Amino acid sequence: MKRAITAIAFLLSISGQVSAQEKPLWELDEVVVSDTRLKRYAEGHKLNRLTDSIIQRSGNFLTSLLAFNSNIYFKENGFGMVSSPAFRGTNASHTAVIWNGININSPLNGQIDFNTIDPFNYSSVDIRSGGGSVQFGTGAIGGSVHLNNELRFTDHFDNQVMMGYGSFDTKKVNYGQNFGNGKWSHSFGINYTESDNDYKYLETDNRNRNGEFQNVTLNFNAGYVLTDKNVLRLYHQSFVGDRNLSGNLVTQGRSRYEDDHYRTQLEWVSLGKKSTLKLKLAHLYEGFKYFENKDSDNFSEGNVTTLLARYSYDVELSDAFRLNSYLEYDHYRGDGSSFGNPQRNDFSLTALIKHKVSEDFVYNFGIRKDFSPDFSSPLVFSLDGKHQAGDHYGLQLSASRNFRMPTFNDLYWKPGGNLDLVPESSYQIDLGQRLEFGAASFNLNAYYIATDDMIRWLPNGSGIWSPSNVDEVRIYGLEGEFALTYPIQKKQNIGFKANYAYTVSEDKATDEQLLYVPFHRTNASLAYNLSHVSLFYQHLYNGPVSIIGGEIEGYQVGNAGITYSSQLKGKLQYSLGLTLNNLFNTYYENVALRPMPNRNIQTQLLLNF
Amino acid sequence: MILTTAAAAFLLTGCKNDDEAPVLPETGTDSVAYENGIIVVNEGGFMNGNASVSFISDDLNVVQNDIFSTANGVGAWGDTAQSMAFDGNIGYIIVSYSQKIEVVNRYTFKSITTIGGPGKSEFLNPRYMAIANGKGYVTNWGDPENPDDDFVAVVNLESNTVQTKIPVAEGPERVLVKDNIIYVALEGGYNFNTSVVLIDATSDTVIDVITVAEGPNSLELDDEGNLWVLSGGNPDYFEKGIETGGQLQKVDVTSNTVTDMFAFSATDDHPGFLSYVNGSLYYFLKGSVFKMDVSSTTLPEEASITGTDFYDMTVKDGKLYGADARDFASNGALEIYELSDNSLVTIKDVGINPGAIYFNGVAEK
Repeated sequence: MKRAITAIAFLLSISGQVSAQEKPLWELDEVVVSDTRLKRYAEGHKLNRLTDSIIQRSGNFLTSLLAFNSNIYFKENGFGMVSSPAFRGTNASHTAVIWNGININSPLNGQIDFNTIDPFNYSSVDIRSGGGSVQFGTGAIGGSVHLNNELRFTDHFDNQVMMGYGSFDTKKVNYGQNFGNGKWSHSFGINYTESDNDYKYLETDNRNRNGEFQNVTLNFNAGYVLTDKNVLRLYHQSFVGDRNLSGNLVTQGRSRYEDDHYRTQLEWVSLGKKSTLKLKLAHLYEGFKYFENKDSDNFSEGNVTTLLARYSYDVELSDAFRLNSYLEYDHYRGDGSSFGNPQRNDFSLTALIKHKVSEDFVYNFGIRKDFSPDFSSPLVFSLDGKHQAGDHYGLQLSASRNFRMPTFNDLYWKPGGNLDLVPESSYQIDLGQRLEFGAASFNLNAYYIATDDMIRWLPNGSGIWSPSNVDEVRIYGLEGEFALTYPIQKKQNIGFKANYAYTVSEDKATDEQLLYVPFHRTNASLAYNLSHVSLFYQHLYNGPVSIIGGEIEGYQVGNAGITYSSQLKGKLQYSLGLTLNNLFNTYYENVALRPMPNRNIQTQLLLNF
Repeated sequence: MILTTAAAAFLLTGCKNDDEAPVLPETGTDSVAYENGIIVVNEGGFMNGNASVSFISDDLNVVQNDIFSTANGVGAWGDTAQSMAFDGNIGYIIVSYSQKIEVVNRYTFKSITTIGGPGKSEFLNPRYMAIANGKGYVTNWGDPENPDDDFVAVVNLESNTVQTKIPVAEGPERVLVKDNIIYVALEGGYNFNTSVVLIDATSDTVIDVITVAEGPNSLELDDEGNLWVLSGGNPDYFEKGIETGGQLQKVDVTSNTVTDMFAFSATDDHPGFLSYVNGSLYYFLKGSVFKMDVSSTTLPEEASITGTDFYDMTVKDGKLYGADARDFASNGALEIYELSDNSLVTIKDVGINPGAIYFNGVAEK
């Protein structure tokens, strides 16, 4: 080991490079990958990774990327409006969104609006199914979505310009830059999107009115190798959004919503012989202004700042055992028209242990305890493992307890906020099987989730809406996944992927399926490329869902696209893309009375140099 | 399910087949559907577009929900139906978040016309309507966040157009007519207000303001012509305020002065839904119904009916009708009590968020 390090030091001194060949893989991961827990302590969990080409062809928002490429179901209040997920039949605050290792679910409502995240400037988007509160904290009940930026230190300097234009006067411009010189690495992306979003409501004489949106997203990530054992990393993301909120078939939208999110984290990574020590400091800010009347100066507002400090220590104890433990401190400070100026300091302690019984059998065990002055959190645990039986068959199993802490709104809203709430608590078990034959793979997961103490807002005795821990929900389901990549000839490739989910999510009191959870949901995508030309088709079937006093019919939507890519001179590559969304011009609503866009065209020019 | 089918039909036909509306069911021997019964206006969920109207026959044997949809062969037709007003055979459904009034035949619920609507400027968060001098007076909150844009819209009932808007202070809510004067309770909307304004139905101007207590939420006239105003008081969450108990005031309408005042003893007493019948006032407080004689010098101490949860309440012909919104997400209920012994007569399922109760007699022929 010592010799290896000496060798690295030597190499660094002559080339100034950290390169994959010289460092042990785990060390390189610690430097390049923003959150190693996803890979290292998650063998028993299903993990799906979406990268470059899939991200690039998936519209403007994380919603459309995941709706067509994962089992997560979304409710959108019209295109581009507030969008919330239901992951494995759970509610909107039961999907944690993890940005480079940090949970960014809003402390205000426990959710992320998936239409405020542009996936374009991330290296990958990972979907981790099943509970993950031990590692990722509040809200990781149905699963978690991970936004990752990798830092490549190898010598490179890449630039990318993207320009898109399409129906409803939708414009998108993106500039991305990626640089590395051995000691320093950065990636930078800036994105502007706007749309009139005035699509026609099919089968009516109406249009989507008051649905205009525009937003700017900035991502900046950098890493600096201080010494061969010490690395500093910085991640930053800004989102500034301005949306009018569209109406529906029976109301006219007249409001407007501005929201700003600024997220910054700085991390010091120190590599020991067999251990990694990390110290992370983060500042998260989110603020909104809501204008009931977009033309008026009156608005309500709110913001919350989170300061986070996390110390983590990951050590290889022996060939068989590895331990990761961390201590986190979170300070929350809010200020809003409806919840005053609450402040809170929380702590959490986590320990994860990995046991590699054999090359074919690995399991992890973790526990975590959160401490908060305003409520008592449960001790949560996780146990997950994987057994690989031969080359073709693998078995995954996980069991965990997870939680969702009461939000600022739940605790401090005026009127009604309830300081007697406890976190929602959820137990689950998940069994996964994977078959793999060459280019084809098949996954089947079955799970059961029981969530208690779910927070629900109801009018109290004095007619004031107030939350209490009343609901109990039982969820079970099956998920199937089939993937195939097949090189036909030298320059031809065909890729196919299909997801299916059967979800039963019942209120234990009524035994009835929860509102807005489809029993059946499936999507599939087919990509084919021949030399310079790529074609893709993606299809979504979303089964009927119950809504208050009725039902929304199921729907099927298909998107198709073509891309032509070629090299100009030198490094300059270009690619021209054309996508037809809602190819069959289907009328569909995914929230009652809010029709989604009719057939529309989006074009895209991509330059890489 | 019915709603969805109807909604789908609406979406497919785009509302063009008015003349193909289904044949109305008949009650009794009359040819008109919704005579001799109780009308319940159900708000539906805010921004869910599922407002509805329910009908319960006086003999309590027939309950029909979604009667506006049925009568007009439409699906979703409105968001947050707040209240109704009546003028002869005509009913006016005030649909707050759809910014409109649906004008219907009150006995068939067939649509006559629509005043205002989404994206139009006639109304802005309309609440209640009173009728006087051939005109409708519709209270409007304006922008809930803006305390300075509240108004009473004056509707010409011949042309069904808004002919003028009378600015008033924050939060005009319930209205009542006496002798060509409209009494408008300024409950306060999102804030809290403390007065009743008087509008002359000839000049359409504000002629007087009576200061009452915080949050006047209901108005009643007794048989001697006195106006009773019930105010809920400030709730505990009122910004920068201190919680105050409600008050009941008796107003002499000749001098427009408060002649009697009854203050509720506890600061968390927030009464509402005042009704008057035959010398008695009824109101709702903390899950109970109280009865008070108009000649009483004190508020009653004993409740008549307990263990209820009403979203609106009214009294007629010896019976008390209370709308229970239950969980505010699924169907609500109309509870009917016999006032001679305060016993529960029946509970009937109605639409989502039932918030206003009216009575239909026999159609004028």
